[in-house]
Amino acid sequence: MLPHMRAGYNLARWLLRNDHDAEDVTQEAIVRAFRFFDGFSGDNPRAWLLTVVRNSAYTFLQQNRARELDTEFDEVLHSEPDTSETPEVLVLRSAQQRFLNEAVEALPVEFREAFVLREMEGLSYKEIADVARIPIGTVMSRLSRARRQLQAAVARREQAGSPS
Amino acid sequence: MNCSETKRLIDAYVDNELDLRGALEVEGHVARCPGCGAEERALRELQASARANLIRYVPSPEFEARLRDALHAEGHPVSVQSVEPSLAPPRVARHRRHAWKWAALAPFAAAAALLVVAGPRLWRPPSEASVTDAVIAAHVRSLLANHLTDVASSDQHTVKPWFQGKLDYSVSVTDWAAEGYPLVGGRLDYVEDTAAAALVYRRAQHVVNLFVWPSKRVGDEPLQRLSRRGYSAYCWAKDGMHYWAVSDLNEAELQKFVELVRRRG
Repeated sequence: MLPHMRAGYNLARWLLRNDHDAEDVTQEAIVRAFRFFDGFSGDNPRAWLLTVVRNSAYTFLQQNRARELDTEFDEVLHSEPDTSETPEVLVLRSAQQRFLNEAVEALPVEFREAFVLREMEGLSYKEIADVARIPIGTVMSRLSRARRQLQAAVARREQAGSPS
Repeated sequence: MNCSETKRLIDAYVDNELDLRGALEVEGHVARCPGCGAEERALRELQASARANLIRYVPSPEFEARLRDALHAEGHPVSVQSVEPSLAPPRVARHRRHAWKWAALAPFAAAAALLVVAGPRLWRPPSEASVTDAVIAAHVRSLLANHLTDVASSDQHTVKPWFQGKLDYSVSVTDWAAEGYPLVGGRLDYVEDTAAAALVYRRAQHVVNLFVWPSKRVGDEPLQRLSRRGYSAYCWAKDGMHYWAVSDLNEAELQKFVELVRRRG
């Protein structure tokens, strides 16, 4: 179960964008899941764990940061810099790496979720549809829009010509 | 395939979510069209960059310890052990008293596990796996490529004649709207180089594809359930026809649909 719990934490961290909330939500999700389901014996424990963590993360957002759930995307509003990284970590990462991570963090949460599940967890469209409880066609369009927004962000940065 | 179709499918193409035919069509277009070719390269670059550069956040040891304690407090010793066995010595000791019981059961457990793993493979004829893949790929393609029906109609008397002249066999078509599975239309599809009739039904947000084509084998085949990549499928053969029902519906609802279809014949 440990690798799945770590995948769950990674998803929560990407959805909530800070360590503290990600820890609270992951712990709450996993403890509740074990309390109510008495452990898990189905055929895909990783997808199950990602699903419970994902649902808790959305509940947390609804209660505490509802504006992030608006599908209408306001880039300025959402592009808050991540201040939780230590300077050592930041130095290790190249400007390009940092830029991509910030661009993904700036995506609307539904797009970010689909992109992280696909590119980091390697889930199929069907698995993403199950975790996020959306039709498979919506998975395809969210991924597609996430990528177009990331490409646009990269293009804007290249036009500005200043690697930050 | 044109540019606008390609644009709609190109993400699914780079994600390897299209079936062979769909992938070949996109691949062919991308090779000819500079614009779409550039789009494909850009997508693959973004994908490679994301996989190499996105930060994988790892929970801190302190957090994992807190989680372990919380699960322990919930009375889930097995889960706690699986989180970090080396850090749970008292529990290991407590379990050891009963260890002989589990040791005695181990050969049986191993045999059972082998049956579970090897069972379906032993029972299934060798070609079945590729048919399963082909049928499920056809189902996925019908959803992704937005090509659910060639003839969109809830009227069985419209759908059935549409297949005549396109297939060299007759397909019986029934609308199950009253039972909660309305017919939405029919489509011509291919499964393993055989033209198959695909009857399309809906259940709430879900689509059920019922594939029908003539059986090459003699005799009926009993109902089998298979699953791949989160899709469930039931297949059987009756009166010289193969039937495959594929959907992402839950088990019980797909089974109910299959029973309706089987009862009719």
